[in-house]
Amino acid sequence: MATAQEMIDSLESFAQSCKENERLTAMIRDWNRVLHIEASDLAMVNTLVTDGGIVTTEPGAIGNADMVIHADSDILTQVFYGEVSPNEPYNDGTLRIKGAEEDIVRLDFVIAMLWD
Amino acid sequence: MGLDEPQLKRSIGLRTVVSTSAGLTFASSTFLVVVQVACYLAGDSAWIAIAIAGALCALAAAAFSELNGMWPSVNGLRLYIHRAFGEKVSLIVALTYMTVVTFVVGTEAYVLSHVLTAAVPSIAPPWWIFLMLSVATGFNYRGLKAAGAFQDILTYSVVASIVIMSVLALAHTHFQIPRPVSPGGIGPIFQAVGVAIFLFVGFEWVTPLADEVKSPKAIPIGMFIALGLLVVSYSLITTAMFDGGVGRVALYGTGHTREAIPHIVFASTIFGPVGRWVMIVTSLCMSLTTFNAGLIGVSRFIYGMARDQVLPKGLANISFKYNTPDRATFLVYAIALAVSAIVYLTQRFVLLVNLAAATESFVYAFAAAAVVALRLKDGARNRPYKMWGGIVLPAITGLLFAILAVGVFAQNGIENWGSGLVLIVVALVWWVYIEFFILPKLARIRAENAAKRQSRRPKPVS
Repeated sequence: MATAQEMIDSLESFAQSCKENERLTAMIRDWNRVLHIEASDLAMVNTLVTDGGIVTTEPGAIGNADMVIHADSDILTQVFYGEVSPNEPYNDGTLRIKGAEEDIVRLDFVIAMLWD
Repeated sequence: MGLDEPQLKRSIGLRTVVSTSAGLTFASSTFLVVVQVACYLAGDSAWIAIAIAGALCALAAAAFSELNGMWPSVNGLRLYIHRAFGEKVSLIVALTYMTVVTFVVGTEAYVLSHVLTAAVPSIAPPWWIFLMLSVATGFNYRGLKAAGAFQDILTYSVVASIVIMSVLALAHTHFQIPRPVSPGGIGPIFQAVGVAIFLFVGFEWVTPLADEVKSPKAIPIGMFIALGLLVVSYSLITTAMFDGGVGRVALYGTGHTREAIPHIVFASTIFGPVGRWVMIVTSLCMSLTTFNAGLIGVSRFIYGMARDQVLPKGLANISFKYNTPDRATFLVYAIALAVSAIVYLTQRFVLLVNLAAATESFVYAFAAAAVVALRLKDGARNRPYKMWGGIVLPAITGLLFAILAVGVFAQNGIENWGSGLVLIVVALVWWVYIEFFILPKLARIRAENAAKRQSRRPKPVS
């Protein structure tokens, strides 16, 4: 199980990775969304916000989410640090993403641009 | 709900779940099936086969509800079968199913082309096929789809149109239904139920909405209501078509030449030009939902499979402008066009309808079998919705659907055994592809990715 601080660090690392990728920033400029990241074993929620191509992270559940990503803290930190592809936990049901299908496709594309 | 609990902005109510579930099953080609079902049976008993098929599909809905409650995911069936029977089986079943769905889109384009030629006779069916598939693909490529309120209007208008036309047609004959409970024996009922499953194909495609609904119970309740609506609608229209005085030959055609648009023949004969136009518009709405679900569903599936390296990676390309999987979308377009052309040249649309009915029965059999397997393997997992009947009812459900599917193939005629042959060939091709190419490749790629993936995790300070 990851710690709460590791969760926050992994999200900040993810936000930084997005910021460093110019093509990705251009790609998500019109995709303004609120994502809640829910670590089931920590009873903890963090928020990722995409606004004008910039990705930021906040502790806690800020506002109403467009998407909710739910998994245990180990999987979430591994995914946000880029250590594992989210596809495998998603395909075997250990990582869940709630939200509209078009947003799930867009998030998948963000991940693909960052790490694949 | 506490401050720190996630809440989604968008959510869907029961009305839209019902309209989506029912709407996904509507297709112009369903009228071919109601005629086929009626012709298996003596008297005016088609409603019996339709009701039995609907009841069986309700059991399948219960199985899907249990599985979907455990893993609400857009991956749906593939995920459930993966958890129950492993990756290989899940890939073969999902790829075979999606191939057949693409065939259905091609068949639907063929039937709709004849409907539109009835509206504008100067334009031949091949041009309509090309036009309809091109327009539907264009919408799919642009990321436009029927959703929410539009889906509600579309589905409930279709239901209203079918019910009203049926009641008016039955009123023509003063509601005289000569032999409503004389099906002619168990054998004909069994054959008719096997094909009638086609009328409900796709009702379970609503399960990916699980993550967008206001209440998790809306999915199972919505599926059950949708099945009830479909049973009533199809029972009424079948009875009206065969009791309205149109004549079996006009609706069915002959053994060699099947009538592709019996619903237009029915509406024209009973209601004249007004009825013909109402039915043309109804048919167009029904096909719209098929194109919407089929093209979008299959293209997203191909995209997902390509992302997972099961299909060629080039198919995972996303349009920069529209944020849609462009290559997957155009591949589905090309396959659907090719299927429509083959159907147009061979006139074997009934074979593909039988193929779809039997494949769907196999899919429901797999879903029920997955419920049994997961109860044995993973019985402790929380199930927000649980199918009743322990493991006995899901097991019986799976067995019944498997028998129905085999029953469709086991009848005389190339339209029946031919459909079995096509399914075996498709499944075999995917099995060879998965067993000998993809599984070894996936094992290698996963090992390589794990080795080369660069973590951004800070190194611990020693």
